[in-house]
Amino acid sequence: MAKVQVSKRFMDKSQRVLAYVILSVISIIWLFPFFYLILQSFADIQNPLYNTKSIIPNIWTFNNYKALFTDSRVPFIRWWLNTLIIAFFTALLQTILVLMTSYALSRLRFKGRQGLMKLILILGMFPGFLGMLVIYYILELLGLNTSIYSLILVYTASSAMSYYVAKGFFDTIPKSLDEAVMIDGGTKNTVFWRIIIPLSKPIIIYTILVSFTGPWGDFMFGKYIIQTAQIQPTGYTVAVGLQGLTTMATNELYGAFCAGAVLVSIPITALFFWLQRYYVEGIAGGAVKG
Amino acid sequence: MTTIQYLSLTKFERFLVNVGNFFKGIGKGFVNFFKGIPHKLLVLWHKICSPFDTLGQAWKKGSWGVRTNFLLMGFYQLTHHQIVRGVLYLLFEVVFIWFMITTGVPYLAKLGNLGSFAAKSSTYLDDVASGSSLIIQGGDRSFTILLYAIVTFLLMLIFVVLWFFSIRDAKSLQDNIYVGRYAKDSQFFHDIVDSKYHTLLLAVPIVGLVGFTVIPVIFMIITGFTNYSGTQFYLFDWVGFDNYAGFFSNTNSSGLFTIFFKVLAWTLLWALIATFTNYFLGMVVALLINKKGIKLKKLWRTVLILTIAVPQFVSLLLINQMLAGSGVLTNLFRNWGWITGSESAFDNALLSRVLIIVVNTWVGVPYTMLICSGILMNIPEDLYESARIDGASPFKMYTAITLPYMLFITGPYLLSQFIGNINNFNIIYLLSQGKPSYGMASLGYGDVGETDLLITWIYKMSMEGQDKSYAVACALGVLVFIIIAVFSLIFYGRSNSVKNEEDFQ
Amino acid sequence: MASLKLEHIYKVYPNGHKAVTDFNMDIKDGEFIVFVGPSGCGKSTTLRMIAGLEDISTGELYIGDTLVNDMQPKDRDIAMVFQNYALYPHMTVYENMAFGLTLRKVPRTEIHEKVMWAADVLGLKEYLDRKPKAMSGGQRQRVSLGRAILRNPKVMLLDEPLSNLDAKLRGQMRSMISKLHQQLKTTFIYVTHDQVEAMTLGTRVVVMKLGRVQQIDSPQNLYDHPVNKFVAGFIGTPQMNFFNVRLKEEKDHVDVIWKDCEQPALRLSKDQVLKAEKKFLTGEKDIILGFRCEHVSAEEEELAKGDNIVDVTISHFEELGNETLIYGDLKEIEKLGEESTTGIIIKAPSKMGHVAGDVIKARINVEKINLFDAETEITIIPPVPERNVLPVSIKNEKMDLFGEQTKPASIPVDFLENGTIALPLDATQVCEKGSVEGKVVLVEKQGEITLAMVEVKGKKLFLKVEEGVKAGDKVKFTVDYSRATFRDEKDAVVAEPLKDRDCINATFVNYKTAEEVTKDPSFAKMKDEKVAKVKAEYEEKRKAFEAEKERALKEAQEKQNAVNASVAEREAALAKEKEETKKQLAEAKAQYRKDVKEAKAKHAQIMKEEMAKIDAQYKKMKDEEKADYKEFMMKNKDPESRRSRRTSYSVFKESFPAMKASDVEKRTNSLDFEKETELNGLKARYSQLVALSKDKLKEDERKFKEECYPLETTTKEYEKKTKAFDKEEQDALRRAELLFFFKYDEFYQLLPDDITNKIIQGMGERVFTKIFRIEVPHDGFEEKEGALEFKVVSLVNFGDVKLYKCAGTMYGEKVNVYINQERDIALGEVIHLAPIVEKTQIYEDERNIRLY
Repeated sequence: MAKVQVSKRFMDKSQRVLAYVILSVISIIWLFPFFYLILQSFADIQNPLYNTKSIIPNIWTFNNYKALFTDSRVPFIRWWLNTLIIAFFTALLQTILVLMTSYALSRLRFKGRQGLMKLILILGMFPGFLGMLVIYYILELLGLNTSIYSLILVYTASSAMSYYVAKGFFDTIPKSLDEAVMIDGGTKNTVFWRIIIPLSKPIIIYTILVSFTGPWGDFMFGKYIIQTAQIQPTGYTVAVGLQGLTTMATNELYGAFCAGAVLVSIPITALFFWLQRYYVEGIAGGAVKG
Repeated sequence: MTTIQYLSLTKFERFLVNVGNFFKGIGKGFVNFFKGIPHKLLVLWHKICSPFDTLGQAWKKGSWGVRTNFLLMGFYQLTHHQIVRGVLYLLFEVVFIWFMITTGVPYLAKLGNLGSFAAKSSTYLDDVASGSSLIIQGGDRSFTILLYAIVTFLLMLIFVVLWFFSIRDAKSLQDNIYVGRYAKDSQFFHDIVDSKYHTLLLAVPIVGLVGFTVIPVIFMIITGFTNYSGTQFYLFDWVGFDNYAGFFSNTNSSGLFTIFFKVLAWTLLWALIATFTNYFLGMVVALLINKKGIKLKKLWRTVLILTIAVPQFVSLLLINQMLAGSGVLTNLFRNWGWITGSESAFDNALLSRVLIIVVNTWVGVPYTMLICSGILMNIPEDLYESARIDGASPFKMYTAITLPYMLFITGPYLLSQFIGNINNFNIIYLLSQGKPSYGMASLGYGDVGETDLLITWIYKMSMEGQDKSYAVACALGVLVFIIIAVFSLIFYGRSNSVKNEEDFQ
Repeated sequence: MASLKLEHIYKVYPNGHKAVTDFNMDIKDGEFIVFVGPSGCGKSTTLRMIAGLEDISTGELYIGDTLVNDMQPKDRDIAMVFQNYALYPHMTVYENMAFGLTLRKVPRTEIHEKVMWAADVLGLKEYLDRKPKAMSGGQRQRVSLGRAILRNPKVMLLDEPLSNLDAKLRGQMRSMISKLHQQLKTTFIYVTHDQVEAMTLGTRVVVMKLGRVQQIDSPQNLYDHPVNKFVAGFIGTPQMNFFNVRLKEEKDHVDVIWKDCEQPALRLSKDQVLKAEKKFLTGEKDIILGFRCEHVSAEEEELAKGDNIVDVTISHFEELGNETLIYGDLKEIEKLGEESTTGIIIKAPSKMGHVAGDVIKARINVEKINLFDAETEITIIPPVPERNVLPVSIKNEKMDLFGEQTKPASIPVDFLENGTIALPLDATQVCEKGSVEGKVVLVEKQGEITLAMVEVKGKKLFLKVEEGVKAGDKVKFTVDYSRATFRDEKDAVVAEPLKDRDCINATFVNYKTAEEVTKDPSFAKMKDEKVAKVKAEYEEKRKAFEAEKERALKEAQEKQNAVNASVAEREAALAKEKEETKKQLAEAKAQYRKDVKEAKAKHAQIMKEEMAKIDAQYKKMKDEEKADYKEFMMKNKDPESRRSRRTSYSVFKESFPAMKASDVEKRTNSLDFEKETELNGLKARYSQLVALSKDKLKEDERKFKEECYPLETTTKEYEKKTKAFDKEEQDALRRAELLFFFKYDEFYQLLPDDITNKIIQGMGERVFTKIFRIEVPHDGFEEKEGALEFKVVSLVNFGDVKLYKCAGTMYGEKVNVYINQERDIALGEVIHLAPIVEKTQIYEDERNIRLY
């Protein structure tokens, strides 16, 4: 009797094993840095007996974390609060502005629409920070340059540039919904608030997530604006503060950097995994709509 | 060349035909562009002279109310039930005039030589040298002059446009009244929520956009023509195209041109490699994870998403430390003999370039993996089934279906990723800070290094070091823009022509 | 309920593409109109223009005789059902239907009542708390229908509502929609590309093609008398059979000859082609013969009649159960082999024992055929012919048309040998003092028009007559030769008809410019007159209004005194009631929370039980399989069957988890779904309760205020009324001052209001810059001094009709105008003529758009 051709999966068992091996190697490569970070944050680097060669630290200590909260050169809590406030308000304002721009560009038809989209595309091609001198001067004019919260203004001001993903989402909502509301007696304002917003929960969460994690990761703007504003060191954001630690002459604060990095990453990663579904949807759906 | 003939050619001939078409496509593009010029000029001419005849009409036919609009913007609207619109026009005119008198005109006057009170301000100069305080009193600052000049030009442009609109609206309002249709004040509030809703929505974002992006960009383009730098901090002058000339003129080994050419070459190479490694590796990983038989799909995906979740600066600084002098990876390299002695991984050029590309894939692959798995989900299943019936091997299926489909869908994404990589500041700056440097810091163009991109070079030139040659950085920034614009035009054109040829969908 | 008028509607897109051209239709109240046509013919665009979703390039749209061109969709009181239902996905069915009314701030009790009414009309009672995504296509469509009928709009618009449903459901929904139409009596406008729906639903059907209306008629007329080949092919399944033929008129019958054949195939009776023009019957013109498949039959008793028999070779059959369609080819044409349409479809009760390839005889029922001119594809036997074509010959001042008669002087033809004269139908008017007399041969009733065929000296022609005329009567009629076209035997035009309308250009001017230029006191007088009239009218209105106000205030004052005593006590009652409702609401809230917790617990419990049940069930199945496998293995030793048993067992183990998972998923889904509906229901009940009690409270407060402080409420009410009255008066006065004129060269003519509105509506504020072409009929001129100066040049005498040719200069170039005046004017006399605007047609010259 001919050999029974059972389902294909049994045949390429060897292929599956190979696939698993590759995947696990990839995971190791991708997880090693964080694993190393956590280990370093417990390593007592200053201790002379410490053997820098080995990956697993031979001396464990907890004072790196203690240094974060006690050492005056590393006012971590202050940094963390600054960044949290900036991130919170940026997320709030930027989401509103991005939603408004992308809704207008995707669903309303008006004269300068194509022109505006082309302008934003072209502006995106210029290197961003060259204009920082001017932005700093404008902040100076507005008298905001001494407070680091002017960063909120800097981040939200250019939020119209990132209308792309949200616009992709709004394009998927059928046009006949707008027309149905028009006939039912609503204005375009009712359409926006009572039909579009309740329907676009995924993209709202995606925008909040992206604009919240923005300030945590931004380094360039923060460094320039804070440096000229001379409110070191308590006025730093987390990113600028930690970067400052690594470029210090002696690397005695390196342990503090690792601890700080771990503490910063935990909340953001937790937030990320909680909203992972929306993030994946946003990227896979919106970005490709191009 | 009908498609049948095309198919009958061998693979190599087809390649030649494709290349031929590619250049012909560009040629055709230019020809169409020039052919279109006369028509475009005609349309432009019509656009230019049409406002003048509406103004003429308004003056001849308009009642005295409309004529006063020539002087007092919004007057006619105010007197004929369009109070909100009238007030807005009037307010703008008042603000504009006040601005012109107090700051506009004086600064415009100084625009010629960008400030002449060198004498007085120079005494302050040495205070700065000693680094006592940045804030100075009195004397001209060319920076402020230039900035205010730009803002004034912008405002004047807006004023002319609004002035014309106020007269045109007044004339059409008058015609409507003659015809018996009267405007209502409340109409403004109905419109703002319904037919003119986009103005309400876009007002704030556009003001933000102009204030914080458009003006800086214009300022940047203009400073490219001055000699604004560390030494000329307060008073700088127009130098015309010298900066640009500088890039192409002094070709001796330590000249600007050699650095520019080297950095440009590396930037383009970097952008090409980075984009394609990210793209293909991401796709391979996505294919691997989404393969039917693989279990625990969610686990693999979450591992990769972790790298996106953790803020970029944390992971990059960490890797930087790992590759620093006493870093764990540098020890590894030392054991493998790639690097000698106490230098860090970033001291030899080739290794640091390879490392940057590897780290970039480490950061970029999860992102492309997400996108590719998104697309893989909606590749129509029946394509694979029909291929399987035709007896296609898995590899053939990949090259015949998955790859072309992915390329077709992600065409524009690839282009935006390419542009993103040219301007990719974080990776280079946080990791290698451009080391190993060419050792040309003394020349005043920043301590540019082997792994520096144009963008990081601009940063170094304008932000770091003592004598920041800001103007040259701006000129370089404009050059970067031109390069990107040219590439995106070609690629965009090409991807269209490629699409038509393959007409996959 | 409202009628609908579309006048000269054009839709031209910015890129010049004409989506809809000159759409004219009068829809009476309660009609069910269907727009049908292939995709891209402009039917949906027209519907969207009526709805206001697309703006109308030019032309006017009246809904219930109010002009709605510039109105917002929401003010037009229309409702629309979309092709993809356009339901709001995040709202329950109740909210979806009530959304329209909540936007219009209708009190909640009324909304609730209306939604319940609509729900039981459409049978949606138990779905009210569901979300659209949890319902089937048919139910969703009914919800969108409910949403539309809820606002009992003037006009119901349906845009291909059934195209997303499967065939069976489509049938049900069709009957529901027509039932709804009978029940509501609203005017329905329905767009579809499926002609079956058009025929079954429509009282009147509009067939459209490439933006132009082909025919508007009842379904039966469309089926029997299509106006052109397109309508014939489009309406009716299977498609009508078409053949290229030639018609040859014989003595007592007309022969139908297949194209390029010799001997005639079919024979028509003379009166069938009576209305066709002679040129079609000469045998040179290509004609398309069309007949339905049920009008050709192969049955014995039909064949027995003997005439019009054709041979057909059968190619294949289509058996539809109640009837069979026989597809075949006509033998005669087949042998010619050219690709002209030879295919014929015959409807037969059954296969009748024939087999593909047989040659059978079939008789064509010649009464029901249609004939179309091959070039223009327009039918040559229209129910109401446009014109009569009669043979005529003219020799030296004598014309032999209706017998020997003198040729009217102004016919520019001197010699014509057996030519033809084409007279439009309304050029021959029946009236007592008609110069020609004829005998009525037969009378037909076509819709509203009664058509009589009259014989005059052996020549037959058609005339419109009144109701009572019978065959055999004598009838007199006049002939207006000015509108006749003379052609010689080679069909070349010898004499053109005189243009029935003369064109003059004019510009539109408002009162101020006219007054300044002419300083003509009469204009000022006209204006003041008009203003005075309006003022007077508003004077008495104001008096009546004041009186009414007085009365109401006095009455309120009395009520105030009467009720003053009880105010305090009423106030207390109100306060107590407020307290009570607050308590009630708190209670309801607690109750609601308890219910929700309870429902959740209950459902969690059900879910747990269900899961336990499933686990047990699957565990049992798994154990059984394992035991059976072990037992089988022990029992027999034959390696082959053991191996197959082992593989089948491992397949079972492999697929077991997936099978279980899908079952679990299916069951939990339905449970979740019930839970969600129940929770939605609770929430809806609670929010309704809260809303109702709040509304009641507000209502009581209002009543309290009204009864206890009548004086204050009525005064406030009347203040509002007086303000509205003043505004209205001011508007009317302002409008009264508006006078508009047409300026012909120097002469200014005042235009009546309705015409000015139409022109302004069409042109908007650019009206002053446009040039208008006024087309004035011959009787459209009147003598008025100071008007345009003309010199009578010659008398054009067309027998019954006498026209004076006058020449004048307008804007410097010569203009000829023909007028027919009662009083006879001497040649060469100078007269002043002014057009009577009501009789004229006004076009905007540049884009040739008709405004009036």
